[in-house]
Amino acid sequence: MSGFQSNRRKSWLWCRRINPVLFFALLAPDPGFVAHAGTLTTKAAAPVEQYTRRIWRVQDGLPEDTVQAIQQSPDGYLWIGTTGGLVRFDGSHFHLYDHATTPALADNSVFCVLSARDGSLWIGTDGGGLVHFKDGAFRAYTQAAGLTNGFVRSLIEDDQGRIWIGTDNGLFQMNQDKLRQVDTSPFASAFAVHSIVEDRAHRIWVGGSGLLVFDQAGVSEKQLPGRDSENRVKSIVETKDGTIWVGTVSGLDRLVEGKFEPVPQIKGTVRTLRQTGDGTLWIGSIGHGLYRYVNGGFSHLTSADLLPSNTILSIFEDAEQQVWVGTQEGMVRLSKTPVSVLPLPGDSDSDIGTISADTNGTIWAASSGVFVIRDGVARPYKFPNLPDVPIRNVFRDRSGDLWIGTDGSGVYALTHGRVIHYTAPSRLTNNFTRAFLQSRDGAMWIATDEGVSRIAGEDTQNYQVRNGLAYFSTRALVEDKHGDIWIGTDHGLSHLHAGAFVRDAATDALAEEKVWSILEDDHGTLWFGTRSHGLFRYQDGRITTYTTAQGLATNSIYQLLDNHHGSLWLSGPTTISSFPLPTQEPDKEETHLKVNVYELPYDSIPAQMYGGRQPAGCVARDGGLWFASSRGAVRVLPQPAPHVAPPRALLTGIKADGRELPLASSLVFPASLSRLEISFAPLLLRSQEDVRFRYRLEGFDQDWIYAGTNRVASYTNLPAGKYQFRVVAFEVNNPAAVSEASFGLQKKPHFYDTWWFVSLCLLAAGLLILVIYQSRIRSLRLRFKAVLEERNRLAREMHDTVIQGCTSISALLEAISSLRRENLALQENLLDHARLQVRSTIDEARQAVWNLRHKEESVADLGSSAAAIAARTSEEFGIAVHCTEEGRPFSVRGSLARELLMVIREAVYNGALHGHPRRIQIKLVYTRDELDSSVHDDGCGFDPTARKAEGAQHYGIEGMRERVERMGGRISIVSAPERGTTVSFSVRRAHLQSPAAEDSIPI
Amino acid sequence: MSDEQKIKILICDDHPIMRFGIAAIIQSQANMTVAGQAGTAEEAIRLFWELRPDITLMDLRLPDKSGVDVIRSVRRSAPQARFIVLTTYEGDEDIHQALEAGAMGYLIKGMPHEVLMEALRKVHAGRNFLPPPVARALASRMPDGELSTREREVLSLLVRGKSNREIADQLSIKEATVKSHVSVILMRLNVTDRTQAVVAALQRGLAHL
Repeated sequence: MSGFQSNRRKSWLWCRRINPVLFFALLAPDPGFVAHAGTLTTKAAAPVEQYTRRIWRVQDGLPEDTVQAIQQSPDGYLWIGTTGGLVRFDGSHFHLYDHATTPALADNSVFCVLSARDGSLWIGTDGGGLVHFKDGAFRAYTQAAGLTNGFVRSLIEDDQGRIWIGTDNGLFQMNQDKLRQVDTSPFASAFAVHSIVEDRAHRIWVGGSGLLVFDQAGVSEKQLPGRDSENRVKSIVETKDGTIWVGTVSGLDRLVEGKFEPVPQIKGTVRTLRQTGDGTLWIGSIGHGLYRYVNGGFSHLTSADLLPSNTILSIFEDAEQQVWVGTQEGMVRLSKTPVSVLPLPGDSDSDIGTISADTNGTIWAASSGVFVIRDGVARPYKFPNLPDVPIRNVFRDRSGDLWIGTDGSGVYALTHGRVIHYTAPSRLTNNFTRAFLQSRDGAMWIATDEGVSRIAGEDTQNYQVRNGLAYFSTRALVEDKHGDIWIGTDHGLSHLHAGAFVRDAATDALAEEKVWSILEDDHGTLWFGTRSHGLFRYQDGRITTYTTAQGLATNSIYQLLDNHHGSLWLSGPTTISSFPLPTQEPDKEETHLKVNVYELPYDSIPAQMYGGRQPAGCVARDGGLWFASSRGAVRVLPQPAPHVAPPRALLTGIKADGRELPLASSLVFPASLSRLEISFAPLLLRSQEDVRFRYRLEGFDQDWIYAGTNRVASYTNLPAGKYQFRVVAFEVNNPAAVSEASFGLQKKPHFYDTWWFVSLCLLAAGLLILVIYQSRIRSLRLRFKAVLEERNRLAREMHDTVIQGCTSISALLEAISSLRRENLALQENLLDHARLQVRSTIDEARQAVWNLRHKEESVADLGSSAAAIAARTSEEFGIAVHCTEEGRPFSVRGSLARELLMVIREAVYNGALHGHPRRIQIKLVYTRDELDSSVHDDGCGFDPTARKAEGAQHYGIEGMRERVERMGGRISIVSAPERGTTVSFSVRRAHLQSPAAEDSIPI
Repeated sequence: MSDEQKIKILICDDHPIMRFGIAAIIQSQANMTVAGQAGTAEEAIRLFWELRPDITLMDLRLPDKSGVDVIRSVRRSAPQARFIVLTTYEGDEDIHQALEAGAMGYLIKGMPHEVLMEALRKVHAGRNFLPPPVARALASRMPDGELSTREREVLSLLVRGKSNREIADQLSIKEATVKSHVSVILMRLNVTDRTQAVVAALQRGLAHL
């Protein structure tokens, strides 16, 4: 049987170099490699351990394919010594330290790496000496430091903290930063060291040119069995059982009862030896691949199946029990998996249609033929008394009868040696079976692609579309705890209650779905797996949907299984997954499922899981889960999830506007920053596929942002301020175990966002408002002033002209009215004055109005105004009045011009009224200093010396005199009876033009 | 009636025709005579002492000084001198000022000649004469509307449209002081702003244009 197994192995244990992710089983030891006859146990017939494999090579990020050393530092990083430099690996990205980036690495070829207990790293190079990497700094130890040979082959830290350094020529010890050579001269003139190991007794084994043991007594040399030339030691290991194994250029020796014995199974130079936590001894050879020694048996792995190369240079087991193998052609990671695949012997394509568990522990696999799987072995099976028909399903009912569904030949029931054949149309809806179900009343339900039949003894009841079935093609059958039958079809769900189809929330919700699997879990909750739209949960009349958005591995569900350990298992086209069953109504907030995905092999030619016929999976008595696949029977042995640390969240890059920035715990960005990209990654040496992230920029994001597998967070146009970026990594199957990385960042405000700028702006705005306010006030004041001036001027004009004139006329008229009749002459005189005064008042009022219409202080044109007076008088009195100007006229302020014109007008009117002249001559003479004016009439004249009391008529002369004198001028009146009258007056030019002149006029 | 027995009246008005009319009215009365006419304050004072009139008709607006000043100046030396104010001003403050200076009558120009006669007779008889409109105006005067000299100065400049700064410059006082004067003025005149203050001041004769 083991031979058969061995032959079979070739067919399914395969390897593809191009795809790094592989799946293989390390099977029972080959008989040829059994070290001690008879130690092979029968247990080894079943698959022992299953590993998934991943390979990294240059195309995956390694600097070179040759991986000589692998170590893990306490912070979780994997350190890989290659011929192209030292690499730090976080599970997905390689960070290279080579001579170009790290001058301390004099040679890029890193031969050995030691992760010391203080967290520092010792690096032995191929010719470049020893390099110490501590606290981010590299320090080289070369000949100058006492290391007389630069080819460092082995490094260990002993229990006293001393570093032992083995080189091609000499053994060295580093103690407290002091390097000294260990004397090996008694054993060889030039002792080459290739391997150093400390055993449990704290003896130091040094192998190379020979094998030396350093203990408290001193140093001694151990003899190896072969010839000297064969005994160059390459590797040493002490296994947990205390055995010392020594790898040499010619094979492997083992210390048994104080004496080294060769291990005949191992060929070639044993370059590296490593015992992993599970007790397996891994033996890496040059050119002969990898050997495993487990449970006393050896197995051999070569590049033909597992490895990229048969030259194994280093083996390492990380903190998560993954085995890393460094070869000449790349690095391999081997991770244990609870999934194994059992191929069906002799089956051309292992294309299993259904797989079912018998009550006796047997697993039935229906493929091109029927296979029975017992004790992990699949064997073809032939039912007696059954014709040779293609079998689809095998079902054992509670009475022990076997029901065999066929592909077109109906159903056979094997009961007590009898065969009953059920066929369509009398007893089945169709001869192509899809599913069996035995309800609790003992009746058999048979689903076909034409409907469902219920067979109870001789009774057959068919349920088809015409009876109310959702769709003709049926896929799944389940009886729930109430005894209702649920039928999944390719187009909807049917619910049979008491023999009749009923409608409910589930049938409504799934009306358009391909329902391929139905399960009632231990809590009585119904689960519906659909072909395309995920999982539906039906409880208490409520439907909840789960898709990949909630963590499902796929929305295509072939089979639902409950292994009664609290987990729901699902198969999909290429995946097997499980998640813990929610015990109660799922909280809206916690709809995310803790999905464990069990990766399947053959992803280059994907292993197709099978679905659509029931059962596509089953739960074995031992709790193992079996699924039908195109590659055989897939078995999952659920194991308690090992306690694993969550992936460590790492910040891997910060880009500001596309420019990469060095990582720091806090960063300050200029105000011009518009786009910020923060990339992160997990530090996880396991598969990173299930790692998810969420992040939050505190100060900006209200809440955590679920990033999924996305590893970049970008922000654009952040407002200025201080922020803290936090990213959390976790695995989908354990979202509670998280790790976090964070850094602080600050975006400086634009200068126009700074407090001082805002303050300045406010200040400026305040000042502006103040200025505007003040200017407004000033303009109001100016306007007020203007209004006031205008008002005042108006009042003054009114007073000076209308009121003054009217009160004077009033006084004259009052005087006339007070006179007795006999004083006619005086009355006439008074009347004349009144007439003149009215005329004058009108004139002045007109002038005032003219002034109102023009600028008050406009410079009046004296000449033309005088000419206007002349013209008016001439018209009124019928007298020739002429006006002449001499000299160069100068401007006279309006108010004074009016005074002058009043004097002129008074003189003209006086002359016209009293003198009865023929003509009047007005003369304006402008000189350099003065304005000389004169009004001459050729009238009757008067006697200026006549008494005033009687000559009250001379009041006009008084008025003119007063006006002229008020302007600081001189006036003279020359007149004599019959000689006419001349009034002349002069005003100083300075006076007429000076603004002060205005002030001198009282108001 | 001989001239000696007639009531001698001095007319003081800067406007000749006004004087001419008033003189004609007085001359028409048998018991009155125009002793003289003055066009300025200076002339009025000179003529008063020269002519010793029984009554002086005094305009308040004169080219050189205010008629009130003339009254005050003359009555300082001749307390018995009788003045009747004959003016166009009818503000309560003008009246108040004139009466306080010692005027016995107050007439608004444009009144019928009988009123003038009555005023002259009453004053000549030693009585005061205030026609009803003048008495009403005087009665409206608020007793606490008294402004200090400085406030009056400030008000007169205010009326001319001067700003606080200009007033401060002109009076050689601080602008802040002007402000406090202005606020007192506003309060005294029972007004809220400067424009109202100007209007009120002109109406009441607290200041003149």
